[in-house]
Amino acid sequence: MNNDYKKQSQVKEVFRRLKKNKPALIGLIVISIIILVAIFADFIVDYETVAIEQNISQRLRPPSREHWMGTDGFGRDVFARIVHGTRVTLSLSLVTTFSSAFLGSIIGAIAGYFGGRIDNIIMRINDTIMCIPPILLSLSVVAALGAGLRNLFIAILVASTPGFVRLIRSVVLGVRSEEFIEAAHALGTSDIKIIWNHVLPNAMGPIIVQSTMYVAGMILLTSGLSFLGLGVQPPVPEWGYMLNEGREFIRHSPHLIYMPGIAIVISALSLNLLGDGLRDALDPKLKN
Amino acid sequence: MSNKLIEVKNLKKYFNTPMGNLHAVDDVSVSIDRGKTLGVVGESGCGKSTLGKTIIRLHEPTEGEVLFKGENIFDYSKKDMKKLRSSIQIIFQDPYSSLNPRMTVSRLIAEPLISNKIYKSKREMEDRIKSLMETVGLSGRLYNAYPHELDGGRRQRIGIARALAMNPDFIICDEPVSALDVSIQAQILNLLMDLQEELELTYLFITHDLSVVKHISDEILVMYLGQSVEKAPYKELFDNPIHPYTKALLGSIPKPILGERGKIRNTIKGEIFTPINPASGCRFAKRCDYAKEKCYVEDPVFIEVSENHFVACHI
Repeated sequence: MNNDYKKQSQVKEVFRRLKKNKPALIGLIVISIIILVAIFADFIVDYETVAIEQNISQRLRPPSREHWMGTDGFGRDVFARIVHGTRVTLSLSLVTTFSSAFLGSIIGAIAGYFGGRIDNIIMRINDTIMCIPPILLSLSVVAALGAGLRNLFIAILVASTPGFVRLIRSVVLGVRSEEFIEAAHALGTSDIKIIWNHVLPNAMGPIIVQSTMYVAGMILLTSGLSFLGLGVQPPVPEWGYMLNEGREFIRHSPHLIYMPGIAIVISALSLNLLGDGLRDALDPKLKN
Repeated sequence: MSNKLIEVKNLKKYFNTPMGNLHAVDDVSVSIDRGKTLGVVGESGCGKSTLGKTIIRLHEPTEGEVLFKGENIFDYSKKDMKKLRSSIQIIFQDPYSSLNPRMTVSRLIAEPLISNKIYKSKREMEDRIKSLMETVGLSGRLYNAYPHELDGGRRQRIGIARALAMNPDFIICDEPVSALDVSIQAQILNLLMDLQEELELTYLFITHDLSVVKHISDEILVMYLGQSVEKAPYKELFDNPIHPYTKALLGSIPKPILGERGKIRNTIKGEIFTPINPASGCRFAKRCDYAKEKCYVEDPVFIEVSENHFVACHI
């Protein structure tokens, strides 16, 4: 639609500004490493023999040279499980976060932009969904559709979108009254284009920050559902579920809590740093 | 056949507020000939901007008609309206808030072209943007700049380029220079006047600055609390004002005459009254030095006192 060369240069420009922000750059690097780990998990440690196979004689070993992060209650290597858990946890939480951010932005923008009756209908439905606890809601969705990764995804999407809708609507309400929206009307721009080209880009900051904050929450929600037996099924390694498993042995084998916990903290922290930097880099007003 | 490009008939715009109806524009009728400029003056809150925005339907009117080239645009469907948007354009007051801060200059100017699907090829569009930038006096190196990098005058030039992009016949200038400093004001005014000559534009020029309006207008409409109080060719209005409000407005222009320093001028006293559910009678009566009993009771009628000179006053 627009000039392509300019869009490319804009991406370059954003990256150039992101590079100047050290914490954001560190976040980007860590996230890239984690994503690479997720992609090449099979080359790092074998799934079937190390991450899944139980070995009762080796159970609850503290970290050693043989098992970098120790072993769990079934004698499985924690390092291997974390590496493979990256796949499940990260993909699930990233995909759910970004899909609900996307969906929530669009619904929220529509509600905030048009206002009036449309806003009322959308927000009342939204309120209804919001007042059901997310775990309970996902539970009922999974109960209705059956367990499994795809249904878990749908359940989390339903439970987490309303928060985004509410946030985006409030931001859009502020942007809508700006004069450049009125100017776009006068130039004959259609409502859809105004939402896409004018409203959403100017509501970007909160969307990005909220999304990156959400990822950590998503990891916990996923693990909670897995713990209840509704999400990821037991032998499959998943960080949150590993935390839950380790709970039993917290007194004498605390590494079972530390290792997946640290993995969650590191990925959530680096995502937050990246999100913060991205928000600044995407704002042309802060360019220099 | 008259040469009227646009004719506003008994236009009313009321806003519903918790306190009652706010009469922002109350029964205003004007017409502008092709290629001419009508200046609209009045103090803050008298409905000048609302008049402009209602004419291009950024606000839906409560009552009345706007005839553009003989057709009532308030009867237009959404589709017709979109076509009309290319013939009537608006330049906004504040060049800081009327430009999306996340778009580059070229994208901002391209917006009307994209929205109305004028050009198919990128090259054509780029050429058009560049020629528009040249027309309004923006240097080509600003092609990929963002509005926050520019000063008010340049930003307002972007606003003008956006308005010109669709080759309009009629432009509503909603206080286009009041947010700029004086030296830039002159540049922008001259640019607008040059463009008018070149492209045969018709302006509705809204302002509260009398020196600006004198500079640019052919005819001047004075508004008070949503109503027109006086309308005359600019020379006539400045030489022979009739309505006490107009006199007071003109009297409030500072004069660069040393001898007049310290002399009490005939300025206006008090504040504008609320336009919510106004009582009948002349709306200016309470602030008017010449008010008679009749003024408080009866609405004055907007009548022609001499050729092309209309006044709404009992006196």
